[in-house]
Amino acid sequence: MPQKLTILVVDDNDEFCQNVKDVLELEDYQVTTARDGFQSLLILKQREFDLVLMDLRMPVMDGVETFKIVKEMSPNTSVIMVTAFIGDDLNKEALQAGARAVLGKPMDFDKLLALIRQIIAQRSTDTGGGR
Amino acid sequence: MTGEGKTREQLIDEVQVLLLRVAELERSEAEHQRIEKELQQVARFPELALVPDTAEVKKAEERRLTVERLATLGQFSGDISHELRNPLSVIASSAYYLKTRLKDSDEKVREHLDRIQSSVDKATGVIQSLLDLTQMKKSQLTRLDLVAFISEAITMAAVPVRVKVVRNFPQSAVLVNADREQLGMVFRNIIANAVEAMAGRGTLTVAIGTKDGQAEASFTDTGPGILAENMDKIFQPFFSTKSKGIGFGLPIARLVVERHGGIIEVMSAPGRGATFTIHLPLGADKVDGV
Repeated sequence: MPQKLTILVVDDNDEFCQNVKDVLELEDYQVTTARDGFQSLLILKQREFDLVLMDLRMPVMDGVETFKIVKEMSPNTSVIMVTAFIGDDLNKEALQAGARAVLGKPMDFDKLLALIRQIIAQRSTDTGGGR
Repeated sequence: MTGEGKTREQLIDEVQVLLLRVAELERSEAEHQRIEKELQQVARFPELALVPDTAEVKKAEERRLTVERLATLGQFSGDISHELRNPLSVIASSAYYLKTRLKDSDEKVREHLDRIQSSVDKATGVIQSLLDLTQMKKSQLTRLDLVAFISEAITMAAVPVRVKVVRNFPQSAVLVNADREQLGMVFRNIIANAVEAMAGRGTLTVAIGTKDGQAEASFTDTGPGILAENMDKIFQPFFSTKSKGIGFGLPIARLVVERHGGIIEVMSAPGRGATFTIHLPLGADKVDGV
């Protein structure tokens, strides 16, 4: 039986975080949440995730800063950024740094789920690396 | 010789130019006639025209205040957008969860959830329009041929078959320096407004030309026209006579055109359709900042 896709959702808005977890769990994904970049790095130190879904602007440590560290710690982890600041310069920076996508808020869940299915498909055809 | 060392003829010429400029900004035929009479008066007594027209001064002051208010709003609109998008995200994600979870429940439940989602979409649209109006991105100027550009805009507008489009275009290119995305938005708005005004049936006449060193593009519809009391309001944010829409299209269009050094004017009378004319400086040989 294939392992469930593991997703870490990082957002300082607790309600949004919980809602995203609930939606993704309906799709049978295994979801953990963190409320800021710093907490997410502590979690990532303990275990690796297939996907990190992260808010671009957070207190303490913002999304791009965290993403760059995640990329070093877990190069095989895909990262999708989420933002309420549409057209922000950070969006470009995130994409240039290698984020899979930057999604606006309110989130288009159909788009998110399609992106996740693409990531799964890519992992299953990837013969060299990944989990 | 009058004050400042100018001759009487020079003074007459200057005042005539100023009054002609005022005439261009006026919107009704009656005003054109009034200005013409004044011109004749000025030619006889130029000193009388030096008294400032208080109505024009008041309009200019109102426009200046509007620009200032928009600039202030622009400083905060990014934060306002963020603060509104976050709770909207929670509402939308809860609606999505419930819709997925309750997909086998009765139609009424799904209907309510759809309404929640569509209202979130509308609210998000309002926020984006506010951002478009108040935080316009820096223009990326390129040389555009208005003839080709407007032809493309008409094609992309997917004008209904019952709207006849008449094109009065010159044989040669009419070049302007403009931001492709921003100017495209202006023409799309004006064409969409014209089609809506005609309720999907009528004639849209689009004319392109040059006059006095300026490019001109006019869009004339055969709709019901604009009421006289609304002529001053149509470029104000949140003013709309449509059943849908929040009235940002024309304010944004005016902002874009003026940022390009042009003006947008409208002529209309009830029952006689409306003509929106956009004047833009003709393109220079070199474009800065591209």
